[in-house]
Formats: sequence, structure tokens, C-alpha cells
Amino acid sequence: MDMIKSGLQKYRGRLREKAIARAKTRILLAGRTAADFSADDLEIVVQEEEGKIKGEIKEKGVLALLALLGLSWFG
Amino acid sequence: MFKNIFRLTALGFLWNRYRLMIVSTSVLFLYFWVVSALHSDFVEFTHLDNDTEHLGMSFLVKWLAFILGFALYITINSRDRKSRQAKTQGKSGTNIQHDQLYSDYPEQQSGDGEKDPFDVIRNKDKLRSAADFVVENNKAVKRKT
Repeated sequence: MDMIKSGLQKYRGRLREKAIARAKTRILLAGRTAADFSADDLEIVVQEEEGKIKGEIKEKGVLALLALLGLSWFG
Repeated sequence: MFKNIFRLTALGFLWNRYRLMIVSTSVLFLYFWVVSALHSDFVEFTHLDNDTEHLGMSFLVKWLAFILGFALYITINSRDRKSRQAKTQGKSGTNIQHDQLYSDYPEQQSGDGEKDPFDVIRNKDKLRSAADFVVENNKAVKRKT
């Protein structure tokens, strides 16, 4: 159980960091800084980015599964 | 050709990373199989010999052997995992516990000593969306009125 818990925490931490990095880039591209936003606004931006990353991971997972099945079917 | 390279790379990665787990799991299943075979042989022998005096005890011994093997398997794997964790912590040079939430990402500070505005978000368990904020505001307004 400990292993699963720590693995999940690590995964969530990495995901959050990635979302924060993307949010920072998005803010920079908009020509503003993080200090211009309130904590709530930043939370919304990071939440959106996290959702996008989760969606991408799911998409990639399906593609990887299809690729694996394809390899075993036609290999 | 690329398919084979991909397969070999994936196999190599899996083998390097999960070698102990793969070997120990195989040994565990082999052990289960040997214990079961021995027990079924013993049961057959007792039926042939018409001596069922120790039959009940044999089942007890069989299950004890299963439990013992499984406990050993868990101990070996958890010990290996702990040693690997200690190694990674030693490499990073920190004494931070893995149980702490987001332990790999301690609070960051910007160059001029100011706190990172994302620190609060970094340590939050669940983030709220714009819709969540609207719902919360509506609830707060309703409570006031």
C-alpha cells in the first residue's frame, strides 16, 4: 500500500509541476507576470493546464495500447 | 528492424528496472507449484495407503508453506524498494521523507528572494476550476441573503 501511495503522490507532484510550468509559459506569452494574478486566478490557470495534461496522457495511453496491439497482431 | 529494436529496448528497460521483481515472482510461482505437487503426492499416497491420520495436518503445513513463501517474497521486494529509495535520496542529497506530499518539490523561491506565487497551488490537494469558483461565490451570496 505504501508503494502505491508514494507512487501516486510522486505522479501527482510531477503532474502539478508540469502544469505550473505550462501555466507560467502561458502567462509569459500573454505578456504578464504571475504576480499580476490573484491566487484564485493562478489556481484556475494551473487547473486548466492540469486537465489538458491529463487528457494528453489518456490520449497517448490509448495510442500506445493500440501500437502494442498492432505490433502483436501484425508482427 | 525498428520493431525488433523497439522490442529489445523495451525488454532491456523492463529487465533492468524490475529484475528482482520478475525473478522473485517466478521463483514464488515455482515454489507454489512445488509445494502443491508435493502435497498432492502426499494426499495420493495417503489414499493408496488408507492412512488418513496426517491428512489434515498436511493441509495446514501446505498453507503455512504458502504463507511463509509469500511473506518472504514481500520482505525481499520491500527491502529492495527501500534500498533503492535510500539510494535516490542519497543522490539528491536531501533527507526529505517520501511520505510527505509532493516531497520532491520543496517550496521554490525566485532569484530575488520573493516567494513563488505558485507555492500555494503546489501544495494543494485538489485545484478548483473557474466553474467551481462561480458555484462557491453563488453559494456564498445565497448564504448572505
